[in-house]
Amino acid sequence: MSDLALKTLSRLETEHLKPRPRWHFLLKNYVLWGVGIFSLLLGSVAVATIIFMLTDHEWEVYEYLDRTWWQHVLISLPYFWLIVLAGLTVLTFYNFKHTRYGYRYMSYLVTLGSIIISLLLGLVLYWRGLGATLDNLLSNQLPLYNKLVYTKQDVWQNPEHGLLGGYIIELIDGNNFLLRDFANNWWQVYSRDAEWSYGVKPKVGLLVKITGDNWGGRRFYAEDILPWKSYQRVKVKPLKQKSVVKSTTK
Amino acid sequence: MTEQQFKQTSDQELVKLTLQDKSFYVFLVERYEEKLRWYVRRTVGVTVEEAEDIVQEVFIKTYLNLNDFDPQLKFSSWIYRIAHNEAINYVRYRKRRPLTVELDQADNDWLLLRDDLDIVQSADQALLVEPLRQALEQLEDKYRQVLILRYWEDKDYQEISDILHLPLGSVATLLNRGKKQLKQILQDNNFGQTYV
Repeated sequence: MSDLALKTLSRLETEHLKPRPRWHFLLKNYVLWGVGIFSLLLGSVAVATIIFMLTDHEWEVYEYLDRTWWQHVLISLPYFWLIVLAGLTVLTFYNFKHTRYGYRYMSYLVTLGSIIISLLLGLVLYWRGLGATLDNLLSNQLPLYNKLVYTKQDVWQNPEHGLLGGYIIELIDGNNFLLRDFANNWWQVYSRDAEWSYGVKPKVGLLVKITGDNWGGRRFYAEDILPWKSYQRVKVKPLKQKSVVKSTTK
Repeated sequence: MTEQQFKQTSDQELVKLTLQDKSFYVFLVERYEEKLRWYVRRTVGVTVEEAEDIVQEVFIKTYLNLNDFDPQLKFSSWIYRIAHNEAINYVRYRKRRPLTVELDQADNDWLLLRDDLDIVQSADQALLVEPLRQALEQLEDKYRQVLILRYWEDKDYQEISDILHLPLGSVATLLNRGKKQLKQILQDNNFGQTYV
């Protein structure tokens, strides 16, 4: 027996060393796969929410907000969810690469595969309405979330720029109604000259978005009243176009 | 079974036997101790004594993790992987000192590298080993590791991939770049005219 073999056996004896049980290694591998798959699924949820936020967002109103289209895009991108997605992609990558044979795959392929699967699953989840549900849930339950994301509500919470959104809480008469915005402020909306687009009818509890003028003192002159829901979204007329329409009418 | 028969038993069989009775581990230790000792010295350039300590630790860790051995892999790749990690960890935590790569002059494995590098002159082996050793010391770690596994340990691409935990494509890239860099170092050190 070689000297090293003797020393090794002696250490095994004196230190009472035993092979670690097989379940220990199996568990480690299962945990790596489990966390990897879980982060991949969460990544898909993040993708679903990103798609929802991108499709639900008001990209056309940048002129109301005195921004260029690029400025509006840069402000509106869902950075929070993009960071979450990046973090989850890294987690998926790390876990997959540390599974038993994960090292055999090129890093860029693992990253690309993870992103593609997240995108495909995310699309399915988006179609199933998960993105909207999660965004609404977090928006209603987690005040911090609203500070982290720039939402459609933020866009329509700009009365000084002629954009107001909220719930109709009372119909005063045929020409006026009360509206509660997303900051829980009450507004008196003058809708006599307004165009109720896409079949929207004045109704208590209805969620609407309105373009018009802020008259101060929580009074708002409505020009267009539009349905809020994303599937009914319409292209808002740019200001220049509106002023032309207005002057022609006058 | 006689000792001679045990020496002919496959690594996989010996692993199974060791899990039942640790005294069989002796055959695995004896089968790999010399190879690993040289591998460690070539890779991280430690002294004989340090290599001995590292290899002993490798055998202890290998024993503790025997249940993690996957028979789909070669046992040699698996134990080389453990040795690689142990050697890298050792040099990472020891006091930093210049790398001294050890090459066995009696070993002819490097001759294949000489051919691959287009070293045209069939010079005296002893005359070639020293420039090559010095060039290996100057080589980036990642290149030296694959070259040593390929040309001194005679591992194929899949084995190198399993030892270094790299994709096959990366192994091929590192080998090509390593050879180019090695050749460049040999030329820069004026070995070019004589040997390259």
